[in-house]
Amino acid sequence: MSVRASARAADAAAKKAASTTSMAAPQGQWVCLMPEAVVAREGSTSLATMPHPRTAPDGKVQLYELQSCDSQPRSWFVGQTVQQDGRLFVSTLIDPLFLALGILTRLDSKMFLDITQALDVQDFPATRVLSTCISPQSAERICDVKDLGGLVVIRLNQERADNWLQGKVTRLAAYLKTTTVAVGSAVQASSLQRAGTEADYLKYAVGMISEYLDPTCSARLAERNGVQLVEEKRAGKATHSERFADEDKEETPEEAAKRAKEDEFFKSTPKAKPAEQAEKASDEEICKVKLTSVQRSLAKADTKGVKPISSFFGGVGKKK
Amino acid sequence: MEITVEHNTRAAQLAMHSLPCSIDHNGPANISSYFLVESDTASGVHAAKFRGRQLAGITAQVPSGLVGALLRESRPALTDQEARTLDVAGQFREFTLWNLETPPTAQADMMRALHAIEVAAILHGNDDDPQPPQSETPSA
Repeated sequence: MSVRASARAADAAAKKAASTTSMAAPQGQWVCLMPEAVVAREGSTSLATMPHPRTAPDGKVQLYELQSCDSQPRSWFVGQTVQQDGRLFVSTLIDPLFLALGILTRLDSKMFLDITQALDVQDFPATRVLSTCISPQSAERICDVKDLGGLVVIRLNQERADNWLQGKVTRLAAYLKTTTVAVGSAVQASSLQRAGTEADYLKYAVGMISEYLDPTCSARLAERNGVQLVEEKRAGKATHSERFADEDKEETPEEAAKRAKEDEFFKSTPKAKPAEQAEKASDEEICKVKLTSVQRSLAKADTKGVKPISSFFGGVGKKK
Repeated sequence: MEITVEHNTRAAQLAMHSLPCSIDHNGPANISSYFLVESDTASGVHAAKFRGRQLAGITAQVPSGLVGALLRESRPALTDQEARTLDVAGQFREFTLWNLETPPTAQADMMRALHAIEVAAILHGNDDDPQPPQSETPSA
């Protein structure tokens, strides 16, 4: 999300909002936490789509990341209305260099390129904003930068990028040591409180930063910090919590086997239906077996001269 | 596709409740008359009943530097290529986070999401930023 100050008459905006608040059906509405500095002034903000690097704001434009917190089941009461969608969207600052690093790594150019051209990704028109929010000074953290009389050209410098990432790891690990609230999974939380060694915080920090890196970068960062990122085996599809759970414990063979089983289970859930049905069928069989003893005693009863039960209902109909 | 959020500094303050159940309805309801909240000032825990279930809630403050906003799209987009406009239809500084029976802990998903904002400031800040986002940030 980039911030754009468009000159818009305050009255018009207020009127517009007033008319919408009285609108009854709150469909197509979202609950969001937004930076006060952004919302608390007249104008507008645009939400843009950027290429995520895994698949400091010093310019005129600031970038924010929009994340949703979805803890099902949840709904909102908004004033005097009900909103079924219980998600909370949270916008937080994102370092544009993460996005730039992702783009430049994928570009893999040995030549110096114009910063605007280098950071422009096809299919993501919003990436044009990137070159305006990364100053040449800030680009130097991850690039070789040359200023050719106004035209800024850049080339990815892996060593600089790695040092920049290392700085982030150090800072984040130092911060995590001061906080008691868990950010990642609950498993991680308890382990942090239990052990809380330097290595744990380092692992945690590397894991969090890797969320913003492409696999090769995160592998290098992990190696540099002596952290094993187990999730690489899983084709980088591990979620945040999975990753931490994996990093945390040295898995015993039994645990590995158990997890493999669980994985297998989740993988095969669509196929699990026949098995379920089989289970149900066997349940019915049990019921049948139980019933047969009763049925047997009923079958023993002498039914000679007894009208079939259907005749009773038929008779009522005839009387009418 | 471009999405624009129209700001509105005069948007009305809203009373927000995050409920631990999915309510299959969108629209007005007489919430203030039927959703009665009793607050224990000493512990800061709120109590209410919904559909006969006892709820326990805590007040979650929107972290400083952020403001809660209700974004509303008054005219839904017909195609995914179309530019979309969202309006700030209301704002909030705090909300009540409800849980069944016991009050939510710091480990609740939403509380963790609020804490993650602070972490993001560290993760996405740089040593020589003009304005350190957090006081803990070591200055270079």
